[in-house]
Amino acid sequence: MPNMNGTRFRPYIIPLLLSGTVIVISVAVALILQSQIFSINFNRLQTEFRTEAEDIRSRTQASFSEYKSLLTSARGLFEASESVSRDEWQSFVNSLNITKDYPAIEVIEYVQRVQFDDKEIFEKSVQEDTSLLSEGYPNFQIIPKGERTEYYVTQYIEPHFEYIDSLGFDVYTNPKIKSALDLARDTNSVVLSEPLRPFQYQDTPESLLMIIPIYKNDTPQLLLQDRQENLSGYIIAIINPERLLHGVINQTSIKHINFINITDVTQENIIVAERIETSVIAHNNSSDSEVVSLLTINFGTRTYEIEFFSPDKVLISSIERYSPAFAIGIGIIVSILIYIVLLNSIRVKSKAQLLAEDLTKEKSESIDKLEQQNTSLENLKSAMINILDDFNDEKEAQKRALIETQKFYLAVENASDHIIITDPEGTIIYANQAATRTTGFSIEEMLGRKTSDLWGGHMDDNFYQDMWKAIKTEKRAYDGKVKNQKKNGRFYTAEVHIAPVLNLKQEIMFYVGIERDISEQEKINALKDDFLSLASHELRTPMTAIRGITSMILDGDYGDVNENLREPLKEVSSSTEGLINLVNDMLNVSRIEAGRLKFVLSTFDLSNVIKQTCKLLHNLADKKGIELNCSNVQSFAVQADEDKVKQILINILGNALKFTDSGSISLRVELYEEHAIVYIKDTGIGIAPEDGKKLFNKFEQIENKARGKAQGTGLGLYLSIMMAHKMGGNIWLNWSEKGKGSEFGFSVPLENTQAAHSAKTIIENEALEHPDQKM
Amino acid sequence: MAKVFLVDDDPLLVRMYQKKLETDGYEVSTASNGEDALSSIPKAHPDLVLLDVMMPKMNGLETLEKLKADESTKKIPVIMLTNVSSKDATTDKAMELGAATYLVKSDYTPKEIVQKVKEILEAAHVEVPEVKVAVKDEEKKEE
Repeated sequence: MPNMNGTRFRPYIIPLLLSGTVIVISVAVALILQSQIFSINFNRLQTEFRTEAEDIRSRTQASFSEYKSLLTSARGLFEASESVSRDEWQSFVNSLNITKDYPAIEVIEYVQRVQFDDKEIFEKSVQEDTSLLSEGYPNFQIIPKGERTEYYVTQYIEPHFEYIDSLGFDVYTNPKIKSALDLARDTNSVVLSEPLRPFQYQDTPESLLMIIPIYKNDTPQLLLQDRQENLSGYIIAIINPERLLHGVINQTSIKHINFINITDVTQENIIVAERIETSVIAHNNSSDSEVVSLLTINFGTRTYEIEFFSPDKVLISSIERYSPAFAIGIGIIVSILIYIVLLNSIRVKSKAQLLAEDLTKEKSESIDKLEQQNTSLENLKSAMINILDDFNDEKEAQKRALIETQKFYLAVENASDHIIITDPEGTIIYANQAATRTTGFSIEEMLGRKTSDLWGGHMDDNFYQDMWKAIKTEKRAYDGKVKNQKKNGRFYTAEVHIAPVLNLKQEIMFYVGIERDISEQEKINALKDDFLSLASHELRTPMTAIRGITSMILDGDYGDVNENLREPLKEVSSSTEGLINLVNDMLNVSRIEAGRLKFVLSTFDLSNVIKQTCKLLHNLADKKGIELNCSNVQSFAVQADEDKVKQILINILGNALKFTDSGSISLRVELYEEHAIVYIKDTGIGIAPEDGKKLFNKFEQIENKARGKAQGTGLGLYLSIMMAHKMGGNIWLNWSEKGKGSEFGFSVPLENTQAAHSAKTIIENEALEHPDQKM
Repeated sequence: MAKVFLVDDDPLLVRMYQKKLETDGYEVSTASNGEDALSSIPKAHPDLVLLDVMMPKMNGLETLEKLKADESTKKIPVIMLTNVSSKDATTDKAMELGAATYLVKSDYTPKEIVQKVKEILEAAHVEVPEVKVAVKDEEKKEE
């Protein structure tokens, strides 16, 4: 059988063919692996780089804004006075601490607009300006020389000696500067120039100019023409772009930066560009490909495109770089192994094939084997991909965690509230920038010290006892108002929120303290109160006259009264009374909001006050035919301001009387934990549930359709609840049904309770803070 | 006839209170500031002084202090009148200096003020005119 003869050589050919196929397959697999690993690595790199670039973009934008506010404050200097002298400018610039706080600013200068006609006078005035140098500037002249209709002359420059040569430089002669200056003037805004050489010399490095226009004081700037006419000069900050970006960039991750394209955006609504493109530039040496990120930063009317080049070492770290080769290596080794295994097995099997002549079966078996091998190779491949994926996932997660942490860090660091973190003993372990701003202490001065050694310790002992009790013993957050002292000795008022951070065992790990300086707000409140006091006095005098004279007319003091006039005169009288009440309530609301309403705490029997109040209102209740039931009241010793409690009760009872036409109003007192609660129940018109919520709002009056216009000032319940809170109690709508009546609850702290004690501390502190409190 | 001296810088209020007091049978002299009041009161020998707090030249508290320091005027009862909100440090100060009482003008009608005048004069055993109309219970003004 010729066939049989032929097959004798096949055992050697088949493994060869098979293993050849295997090699081809495994090489292919290895190549796929390589490319996948490469793309995974590349994607990861790209993401990392892009996040970094994004971070840089936001920080650059943030530092641009900081620089912008620096310029705005410099402009304030010029707006504050008729003229600013050279030495004033120098001491202002020195006070800014530029080298430390605005490291990218190389030079800050003031440029004066000079008309051709004034040129000589101007030059002379600078030459004779001896405020900084005793000899003045004898050689000063506007450079470059020549006749121009106007000059924009560098008049003041800091650092003064390093750049003294540039005094007199007419910046308008540089077309790039001119266009930026014009833009700033026309838009009355801070403008950032394109990269340019800012001085008269051409060998200086390229810089960005940040420009703010200054207009003559008290001139209109509304129209473009006004702005062009009234411009008096500019303040220019020369910014070193490399330093600006290096200030915000982690030095190791960026190799170099190119400002490549600056486009002026003229449309009104600029969409904040968020385009960040990352690309890989493959170098000849293929292992050293480079990542380039292109990002866009908007500032004012300009868009900057910035190219970031990653440094080589961030690229593919050695394992990652060789991992594709590693995969190929494994692929080849595996395929050689398979080849040997197959060759051997096929050799053995082929002998059996010859003997048993069941070639087909054998063949199919070896194909099975081959398939099996192939499957295991596939398994190997997916296992390897999984391992690599895991490896990447873990790094990715770490990176993500880092980014998250960084986000939180940035948010806390740049928050406008003063935030500090202390250990359980109160030693500061972290302070954000706002802490420096509000207290004047530097971060270095704060770390490792206690707040009591820095700005704290100016309240009485009770305050600190209460605070520590809350945050240390009770492990809860403490809110309060505190008076602190800045490094410069000035006091400020702040709202504080201090919270303990606990671990799983409920142990205190550290404290987070947030402070907000409210001194300004307090001052405004005090001013408002003073104004209202004065206004109310001025209002009350004529109102007293209207009410007094009306009552005298009605009494017949001015002669007989026409009967037709009695009703209208009564109306005049009662509306004046309403006005007087409104003024009183407004004044009290303003006082309590400013912490200037005086509370005199004492211990008294609540039932006595209730009985006195009921006595006051009995007449009114009788007139309306309503039963006022106050007899079922037990005695309880409470701590509060007796007058204020009476005022609150009059208010609630007054409302009950106003909105009840028949039936009764009854009072009872119950004890609940640390409070005595007065319940005032009426059978009046009731309050709809949706109105119940609005009841205690300022100026809120519930629409009363049955009676038309609401009565009263809308301040009564608001004032009452504010006063109740201050005394450590509360007021609430306990029950109400439309048409059936309502029940209000009013709680007052019992004497010698925690609630009474806390209220006392708060009230005493407020009295210390506002010695001019009024009752 | 009981004599009342009224000191206030607001002419409208002076006219109003003067009218009411005179209607009720009192003899009334007036001044528009503390300085004038101090020079006239010793000559006028009033039985009672109604004294506003906020006034130009010399305010009510200073005037009160001077009246109480002078032998010839120190026994005259003084009612302080004000329109500056409610009670505050001034109230305490006025009572400390020897004022008979302290009233917020906008809280009282002229009739009620005259009633207070009457009460204080009665307490000082000065003969007071019969008022034509009976004065109502004024408890509701306590608040």
